[in-house]
Amino acid sequence: MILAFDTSTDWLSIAIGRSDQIIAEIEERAPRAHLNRLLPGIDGLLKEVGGAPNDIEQIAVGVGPGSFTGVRIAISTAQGLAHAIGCPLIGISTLDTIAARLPESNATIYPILDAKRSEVYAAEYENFGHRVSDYQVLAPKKLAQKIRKSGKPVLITGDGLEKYKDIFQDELGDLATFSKPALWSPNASVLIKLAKEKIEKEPIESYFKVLPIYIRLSDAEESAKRGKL
Amino acid sequence: MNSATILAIETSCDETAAAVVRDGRECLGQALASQIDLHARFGGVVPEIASRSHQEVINPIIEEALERSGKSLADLDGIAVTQGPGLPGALMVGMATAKALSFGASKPLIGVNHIEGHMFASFFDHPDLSPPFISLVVSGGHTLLVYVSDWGKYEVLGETLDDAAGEAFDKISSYLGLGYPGGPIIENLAKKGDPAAIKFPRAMMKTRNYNFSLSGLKTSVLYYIAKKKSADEEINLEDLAASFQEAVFDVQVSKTERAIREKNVDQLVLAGGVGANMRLRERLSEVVKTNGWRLYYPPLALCTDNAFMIGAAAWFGYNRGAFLGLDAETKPNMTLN
Ligand SMILES: [Zn+2]
Repeated sequence: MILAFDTSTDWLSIAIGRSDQIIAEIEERAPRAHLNRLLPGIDGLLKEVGGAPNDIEQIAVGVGPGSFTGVRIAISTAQGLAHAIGCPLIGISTLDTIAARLPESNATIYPILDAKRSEVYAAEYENFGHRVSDYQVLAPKKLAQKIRKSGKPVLITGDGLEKYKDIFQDELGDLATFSKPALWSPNASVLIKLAKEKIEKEPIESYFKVLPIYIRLSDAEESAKRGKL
Repeated sequence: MNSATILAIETSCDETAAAVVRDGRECLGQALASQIDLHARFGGVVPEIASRSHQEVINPIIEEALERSGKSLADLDGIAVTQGPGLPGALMVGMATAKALSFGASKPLIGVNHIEGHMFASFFDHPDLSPPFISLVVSGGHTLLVYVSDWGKYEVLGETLDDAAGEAFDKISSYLGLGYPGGPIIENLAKKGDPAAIKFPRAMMKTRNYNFSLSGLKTSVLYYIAKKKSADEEINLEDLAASFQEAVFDVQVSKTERAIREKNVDQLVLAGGVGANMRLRERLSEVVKTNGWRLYYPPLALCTDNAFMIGAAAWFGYNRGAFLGLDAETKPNMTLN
């Protein structure tokens, strides 16, 4: 049995898979309620499939980028469970999951997540979901201009569209296509699929080496870097 | 009371700590990672840096504590975690980790009040300590006087209305460009200084309540430094440190003495990081000796935040059956009672 969850965004997404099937899942909006709803959610799903924590053979967790606190809740929970159960832990970027949620195609895909402070987290994917850029945080307008310069048609997805769709529409016109809102969350079933692919390809690290992708420094470090301190 | 071996986790501020504690008294193994170096250049604890650091080291620290204790998760009777008060993001890492361990290993989860923990650190050397007693809790984040009439029964007699004691030490030290954390720096300077050299105010000394205030004293010290600097006069740092420290402790010692008298007890438990200050210990020892009372304090390493104290307090929670559910949250503003 494989358990997967992502709480990097406002969404709480949890799934349990067995063999090649997803046998139970929850996806709901739970802004600022991840700490108190994640474990009851996992417990509920396990009960639904008649399982117990010890039946979990692998855990996959979304490691951001996203809400610093949300990412830490997911990883702390995942690490605690992996330690207690003694099973491997696989970390998958939240942006990877959102990109992989779209139907497979050779389109250029940009998942974008609201990073607050008028910025988005983003990365570029090509050719059936291969990431071809770093994870980055930047102003949506800057990203849109970058895409326009490349001249490539792109498919944009992710909850960053809630606030910034207009910017991309204005800058990119026909170059941009947008996914449906129902596909914007980092879905845990997709996370399971990516984790399984990763297990095939790479050796599994120690569970406590699965760490958050923050991209941004803390405010204090940012200020220090800009010489304000 | 039932016997219990508990894994305790503490992440409320800038120490990541884990300990395996038997029956609230005996430390079977502990491990701690201090973040002081990470925060030093900012002159104080930066919450986001604290949260990130807790996240990175918490599991290796837990594994190390377990290994030193010779216990595995399966051997435990429960998992304890600091629920509050503390930095929200820092507490969150400890709580999420503890909840997952508790769920994954099917062990009950006990939430501990950090202040309660501090008061229980003295059990390390004094397993027979028992209420009633007065506790003076002084640290970077807290300054309070508590009357402990019985196990788990707390009456907060008074607390600071503005800065905590440790905070004031940090601010003075940083203003003088002496570094962080300020407590040990000021204490060391003060050893060679004259505590009566400079007259600083003793705020709330005369008030009948048990509250403290340090903002006025801090302002006086900063004003004194500015005045000396603008007159181009040299500042005797040792006298300054000694006089500042004495002004802080005069009020604390006097109010503590009055509380012991009013509650008619004969035991005092000193707790918290500032409780490591030798001058404060010396002043309280004098008072206690004159009155025929007893003074308890933890070993130096257990004055600052640690997980032994959380495990010590958790044993009582365990025996009360005060267990947290899977939906438990942190309580950054948690109070005693
Ligand atoms: Zn403390």
